[in-house]
Amino acid sequence: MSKIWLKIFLALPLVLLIGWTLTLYVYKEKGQEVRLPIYGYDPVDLLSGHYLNFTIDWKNADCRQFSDGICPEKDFCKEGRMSRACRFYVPEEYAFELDKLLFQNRSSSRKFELVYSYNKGVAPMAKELLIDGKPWRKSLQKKNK
Amino acid sequence: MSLAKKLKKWEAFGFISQEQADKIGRFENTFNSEWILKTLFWLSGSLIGFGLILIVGANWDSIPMPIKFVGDFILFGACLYGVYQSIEKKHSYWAEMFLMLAFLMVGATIGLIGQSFNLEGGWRSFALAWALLSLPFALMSRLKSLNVAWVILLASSFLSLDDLEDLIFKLEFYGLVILVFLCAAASYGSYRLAEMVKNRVVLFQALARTFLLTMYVMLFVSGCKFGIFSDFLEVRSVLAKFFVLTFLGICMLLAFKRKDIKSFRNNALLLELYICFLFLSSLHDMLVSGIGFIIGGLLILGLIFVGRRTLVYIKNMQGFKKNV
Repeated sequence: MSKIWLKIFLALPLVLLIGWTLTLYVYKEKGQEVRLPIYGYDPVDLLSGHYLNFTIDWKNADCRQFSDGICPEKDFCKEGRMSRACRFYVPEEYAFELDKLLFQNRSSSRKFELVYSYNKGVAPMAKELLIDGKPWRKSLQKKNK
Repeated sequence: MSLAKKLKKWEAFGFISQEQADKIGRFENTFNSEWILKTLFWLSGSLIGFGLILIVGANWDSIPMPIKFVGDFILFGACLYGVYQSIEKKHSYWAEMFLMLAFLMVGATIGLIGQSFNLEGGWRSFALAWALLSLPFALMSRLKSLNVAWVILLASSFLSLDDLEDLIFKLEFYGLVILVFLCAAASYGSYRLAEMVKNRVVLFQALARTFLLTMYVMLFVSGCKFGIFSDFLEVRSVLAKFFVLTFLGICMLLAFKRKDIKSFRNNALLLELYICFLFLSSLHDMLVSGIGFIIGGLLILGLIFVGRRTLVYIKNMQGFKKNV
């Protein structure tokens, strides 16, 4: 294999990964932001770390955020056995605490919401987890003080 | 028997001189230490790669996401540079280490992307992306272990553990028979492809081995599920036994024609093992009694004895002696 072809062959995966990252970043930043209420539980994905697994509470969601006033339920999250399952990755050190809070959510008065970046035709991307309207990091810091 | 003892024996019978024995001994020791060195290089690459995957998995909050990405891409780039330099300077061990590291870094990077952008999709889509993006590294590696890992990764993107369970437990006898033949055909095709590229690409050999192993697994699943763990006199049970015994017999015949002593020996041993299972299954409830345990123990001893005699007989068979 000539030197040029070897360089191209080796660089191709890295170039594709960088391209994919930049594309996702653009979609995330340029998409329309929508806030949706959630409830759920916490498993661990070996290769991407801890994530919160939750379902969107469409009954209490404000569909006016979407351009045609209809909540595009099928565009969000993949079909699971019982319902559509969504993910939000969290640092390992906070996973247990967040999981506990999220699991207790159904019986408590705390409001859990997720901010998505929504582009029509593209899978929505979760941007931020809100607890009582505040980013989860700030909420946990306030709770721990 | 160790090599040193064999060399002494051959020297005593006059097959080789002392000088030749010394040369062979030195050569084999060098080869063994090369193999150990290669394994250590491969192991270091694997450990570093898995370490990176675990670091990504921890999702350290103290490191901002852009820094994680920049760091990851720089590391990946450095690794690719290492592959390039090792190949150019013909340092095969370093090349294999960097290729293994690059293969694992693809997985770590995809994991980082999934985590940063909260991507949906389970193991299958992840495995498919990983397999496709790491294909160049699998193609360039001469290590069968990396290529087999790549094949398993790709297979897992199409077949989950649940699917595999369904395949084994829910598929009917004729379905399993078709699978066995499909795997045999795929294995043969992969071996032919490997020969066509003159074994320059190890991936085809890895594919062939994986299909071959799957073929034997499916064969035994059909032989056990329908031939052993079912009603002895049922038509399907008789057909399953006949199928396994005939298939292994045909494999032995093809190996004999190719003068492939290793394949002939392996198929012969599998045949003996299956006959042993058939005999054990005919004991039914007696198998879990005291007499059953004694018979089982004696059978295993018998199997070892017969197996060893089979190996000696095969080695001395005229058809294989001509090849030597």
